[in-house]
Amino acid sequence: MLFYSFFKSLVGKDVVVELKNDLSICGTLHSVDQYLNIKLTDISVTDPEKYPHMMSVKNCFIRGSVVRYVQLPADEVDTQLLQDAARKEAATQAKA
Amino acid sequence: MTDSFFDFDAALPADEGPPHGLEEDEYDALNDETFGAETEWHEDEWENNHEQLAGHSGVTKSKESFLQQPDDDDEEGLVSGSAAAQLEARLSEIILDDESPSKHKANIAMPPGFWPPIPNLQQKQAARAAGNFPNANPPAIFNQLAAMGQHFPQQQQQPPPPRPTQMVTVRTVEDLERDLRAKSQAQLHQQQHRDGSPLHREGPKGPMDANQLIEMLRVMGTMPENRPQGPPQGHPNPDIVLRLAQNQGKPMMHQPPPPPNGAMMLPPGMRHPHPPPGMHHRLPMNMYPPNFPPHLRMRGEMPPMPWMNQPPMPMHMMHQPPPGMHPHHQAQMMSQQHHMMMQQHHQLQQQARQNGSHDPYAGLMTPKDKQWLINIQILQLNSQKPYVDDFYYTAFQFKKQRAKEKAGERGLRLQRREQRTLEPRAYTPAHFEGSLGKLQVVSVTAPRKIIDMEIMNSDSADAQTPVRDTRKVKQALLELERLYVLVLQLEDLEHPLPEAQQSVTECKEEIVSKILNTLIPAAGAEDKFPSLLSVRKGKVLLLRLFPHLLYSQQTPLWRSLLQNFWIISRKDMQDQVLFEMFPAFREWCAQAVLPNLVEVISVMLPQKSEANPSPSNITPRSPLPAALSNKFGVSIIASIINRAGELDDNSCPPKTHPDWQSWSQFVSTVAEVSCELAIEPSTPLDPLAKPNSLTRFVDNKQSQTLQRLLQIDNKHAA
Repeated sequence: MLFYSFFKSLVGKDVVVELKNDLSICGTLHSVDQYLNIKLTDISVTDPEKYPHMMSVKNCFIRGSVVRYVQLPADEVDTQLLQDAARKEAATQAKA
Repeated sequence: MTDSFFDFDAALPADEGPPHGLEEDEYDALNDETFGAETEWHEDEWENNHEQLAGHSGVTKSKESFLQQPDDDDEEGLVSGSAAAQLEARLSEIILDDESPSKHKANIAMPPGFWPPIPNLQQKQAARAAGNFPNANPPAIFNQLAAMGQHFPQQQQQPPPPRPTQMVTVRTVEDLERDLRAKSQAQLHQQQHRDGSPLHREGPKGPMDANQLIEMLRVMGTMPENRPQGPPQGHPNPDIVLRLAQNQGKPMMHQPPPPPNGAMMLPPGMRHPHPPPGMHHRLPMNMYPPNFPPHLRMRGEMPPMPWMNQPPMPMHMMHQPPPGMHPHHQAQMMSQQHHMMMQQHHQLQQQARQNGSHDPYAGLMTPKDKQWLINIQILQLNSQKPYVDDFYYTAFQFKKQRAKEKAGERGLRLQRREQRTLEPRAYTPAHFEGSLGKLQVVSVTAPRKIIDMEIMNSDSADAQTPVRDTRKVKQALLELERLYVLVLQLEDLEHPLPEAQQSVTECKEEIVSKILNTLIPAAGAEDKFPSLLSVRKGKVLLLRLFPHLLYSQQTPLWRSLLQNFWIISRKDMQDQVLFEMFPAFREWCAQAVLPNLVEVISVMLPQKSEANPSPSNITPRSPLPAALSNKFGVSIIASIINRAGELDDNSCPPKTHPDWQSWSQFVSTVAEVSCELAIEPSTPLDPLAKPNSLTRFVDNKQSQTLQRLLQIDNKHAA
């Protein structure tokens, strides 16, 4: 639940999602779910000429398994908190 | 096995042994008729059998007893002669009398083309499939089968279809059901025929293809509409039709594709599903003819069906299955609902196309359905303990809330700043000024060398030591992680949320003692402190740990820090984290009494460090030069001296205290070392406040040195 929790805190921020098929989509993070499926609103593709079929798309739903990277705004992330969350997750996993 | 499906008792009669009039020896239950050579049929036999059966007396044409053998076929061991045949006919008579006679009369009256004609081969196969069964009910179905291949009006009075008379048919329950239904269906068809609907046509002679089957279904479809009070059992016909058609299709047709197994193909022995009572006025909608183009079906569209005169409307189906519904009924209902939704979808698409927009996936789910699905997903994520399960989000929101409360005091300035940062919305990819040509697009499948970078290895000599070091570093990191977990527990104890506090099981003292056991070496144990503090993580750990420690617990840590200052300061060159520890030290120092100071500075004094032999892995050199050359160290020393001065001013402890001697020793040592320093010492963060205190301990020259060192400026003295 770590990254689900993490992405929940980023809802409403601008992110760039790079997919495994090399398509990069910039948009506002609308929602995320436990599988890390991502819904973006008001999207724009970084290289429109290469992907003309995306011109008319405004909102999209991205399946979590096809995401390669998610580029985040740096000031929206608390790295110390993320480290602590990871430690807690590891501790919980070790207990269970 | 009695069940309410039949109107009569469908239990198999018990095996009574040899029939009346026969002895045990004479009667052979497992005779050749059924199991032996008599099952071989010859092409020209059927005519003879047919005539014989037709001329059989005492039995109506429907109650064919195929039990009578022609005399010429009588072989030894075949005891079931005419006597047996008559007996069995009588038996079947008894059973059949329970049914309404009209059913029997109507069994042949069927619309042309309703039953696919079954050639001889199929009939033989069907007959062979039948076993021994003393029930002449089966003849009815075979009558119908025979009628298929023949002209409808003329064949009405035809004698029963050709069958080997030697055969004693044994019907399974499934066949019985089928027959019953065929009868009731035949009854309806009989009525239909009387109404004069377009049924006066010749039946197809050859194998039926999709069109013919569709026609059949259309007929069936119109029939229930004309007869709304038709019995619900009228509908199982279609599956018989389909089955027969498919049975026929397999051996005969080379048509691709093989009929898909629709919902109507039941495994043998299963009960035929009853459509719910509310359905009776509509055709069961999932009834695709076997050769229904599957690709069309999947898209939810349908070829223009003849019976779809009205636009597809949602049926008045019961939403709750009737209590005690057979699970198979439910499966059928589900498929019917599915079909209904596909119709709706189709309808919506038509409307959409008229409007101009085209979304092939619109209308598949109502908003209510969507919300229902979403609720399911959300339900799965609901948690009783958000702080534990959902830590990052919960803690992040908590922090933001606290920051907001603090910022709220400052006013709107911060909010405006946030709004400004949100404005640059349009994303632009990285653009490099002055780059010649275009940037290379790199992907996983086409990697390119973008940056020209080489790793310079200065010394090849220290190839081994780095390996050892990395191992040590890794061990240190692992140890630190263990400590971090404990520190996190400590912080949870102090957390305002009660849930956080409840998540920690141990009490504070236990946790603290665990931590300190690691950080402060026990007597004779290896000191891990320098290795832990060499890493950035360790320093941050210490930083987070200090607020939770008692004063007395902090002292040994500071001492240890100073003792290992050489290593720590050297490794801190990149991180520069030590400065963040200074406020903590200042706080500690402010509360220090002289013994504490002495304890801390004791490590700095070269004599004492020799007196107390330090562990081998720590350099025996005094940390003082390192401290003086490091800004942090200088700051520490300055604060210590400051504090000592305060204490001296307050005269606590009194000036005669032996600790002051150590202190003066310390000060002079500092002065000496600072003179000897090759490098220019750094300036402390906190300049010395009271220079005069120094004069008590050191002579003037040293005092001046110290003052210069520690930036004591008389003009700037506080």
